[in-house]
Amino acid sequence: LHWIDWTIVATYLAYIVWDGLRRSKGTREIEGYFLANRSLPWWAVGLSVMATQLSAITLVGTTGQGATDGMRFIQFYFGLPLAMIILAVTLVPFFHRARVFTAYEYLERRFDARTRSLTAALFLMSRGMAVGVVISAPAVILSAVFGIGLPVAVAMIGAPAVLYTMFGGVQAVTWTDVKQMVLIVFGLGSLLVILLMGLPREVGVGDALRLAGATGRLDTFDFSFSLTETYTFWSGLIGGLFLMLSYFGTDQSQVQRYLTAKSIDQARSSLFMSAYWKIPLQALVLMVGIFVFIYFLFTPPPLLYNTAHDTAVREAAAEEYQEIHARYDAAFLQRREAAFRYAEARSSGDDALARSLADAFRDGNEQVESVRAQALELTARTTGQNPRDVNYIIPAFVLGELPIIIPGLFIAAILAAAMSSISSELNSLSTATIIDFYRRRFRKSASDSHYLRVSKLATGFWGLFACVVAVYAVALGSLIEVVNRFGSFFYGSILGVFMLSFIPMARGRGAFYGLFAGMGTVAAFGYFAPQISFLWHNVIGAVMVVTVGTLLSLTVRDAAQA
Amino acid sequence: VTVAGAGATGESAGSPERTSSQVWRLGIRVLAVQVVTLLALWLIQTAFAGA
Repeated sequence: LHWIDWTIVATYLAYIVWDGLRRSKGTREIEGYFLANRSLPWWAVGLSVMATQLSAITLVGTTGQGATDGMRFIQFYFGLPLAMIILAVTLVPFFHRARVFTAYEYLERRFDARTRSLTAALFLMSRGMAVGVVISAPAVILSAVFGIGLPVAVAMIGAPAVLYTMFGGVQAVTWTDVKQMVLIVFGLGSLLVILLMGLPREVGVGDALRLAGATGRLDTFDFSFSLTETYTFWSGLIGGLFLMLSYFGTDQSQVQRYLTAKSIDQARSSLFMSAYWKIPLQALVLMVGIFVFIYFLFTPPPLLYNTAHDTAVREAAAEEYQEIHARYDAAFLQRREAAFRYAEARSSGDDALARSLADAFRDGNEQVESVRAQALELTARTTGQNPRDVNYIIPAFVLGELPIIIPGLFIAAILAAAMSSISSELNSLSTATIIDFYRRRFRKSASDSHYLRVSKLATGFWGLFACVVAVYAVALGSLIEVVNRFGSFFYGSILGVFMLSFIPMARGRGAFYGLFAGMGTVAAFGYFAPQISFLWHNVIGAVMVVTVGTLLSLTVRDAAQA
Repeated sequence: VTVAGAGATGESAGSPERTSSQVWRLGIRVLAVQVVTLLALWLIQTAFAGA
């Protein structure tokens, strides 16, 4: 990285920490620290909601997924708009009117203290681990790309976020989220423009999209109904609906965002912002990946995108590596030739020739992918590590192909995406720790300044915990799915408890034991039917809790009546 | 009560809270926009699939 790029990254880090820390001046009491005195405008809250969900994993992993797999990942979000509408009508007004700090606090009022404690503890456990993964995703990449130690990379991402979250509270979290969101969208938009402008002169945007379409990368919709496939229309719409209801309605890292809004309507509006913009934003993210794929149709792509693996395999199996590389180069040239000739045939209006050249292009692409699969297999064999390099495609493109300033901005955008999620999550972990446990069970009455002090300490503790998890989370496979898997084990069941709260006859005992029944069922499905996609776990967990919880509640009522 | 427009949900701080049916109406508008978005993605998929 050029020194100018490093300067951009350093300037971003310094600015964001300064901007966050200056917010601490207005934070004197616990309601201000955790909820900004319920005073924030809908647009800031809405951007914070989106920035919290959009992590570095999205920026790096999802763009990479766009390059290798195309648009179909977007189906994952099809349930989101509907989830936002349901939440705007149901939980949002409940939370606001109850004047709660956490979603779990509401459960004590509706059910009992143990249901509150259990759900809050599950949140702390799963979110505490997940924030570690959120840090590790960019840290692993920065570590491999710049050859720095993983703990250094983790500290580079984690330390500034912990610092401003710890001292600035939710004001710092929200207002830095707003700026980070702007930087991320600007970064993605710039990349797309650069990629469009970088197409070869003979290849129009339409030709480029047809080439992507020929490889199936523009296939957005899969209407097959399969419990084993994660990315289908129905999985996204139904499983995704339950996941999003749970994430936005019961996960404190999101609930806390809209509890800071000025009013119920402002909170609703902040959720509607995501409902409007999440799918288009995700389309932009995936489209950047697709155009990187197109870019590498005409420019020789690396055989292995992870430079650390590339170096290791070159050294450990030089002869085999060179042999594979030679075949990769030949396959690339064959594919490029077919792509150019296809574009030429289209511009000359020769449809029959274009069709046969499209077939040749497809063959060439299959050849390239098959040789690359062999290289990945060699990587696994020689390094003993997971060879998957989807998360390295975009960094390899930005750092290897683009002129100075752009890589600096891109690294800053990755850091922004990571920090915007980390800060919200640390802030919410601290809130649940202090409100649901410390103030509820250990120090029921103390001064505001005392609670403020321990809240800051709790933020620092969770920051440290997350950084430690981040260092060890690298071996957990595909980073995108790891985060979702962490959540989906508990998510559906916790959602089930909140759904149960709307059933008048439901009682605390039903909620508490129903939650165990839901989690147990999900665990059983995970163990005995691992082929079922994790998206469906949310549906299974929620339905189980509602069913068991209602039945158990009926027995409680009967006992009381007797 | 004025129901805020699509995307421009900028109600003033002092305005009365939306009723449930107004929120549902807003929600339907959100869904309509999403249907248009999905239709656009579908068109892209079908228009560029036949290389």
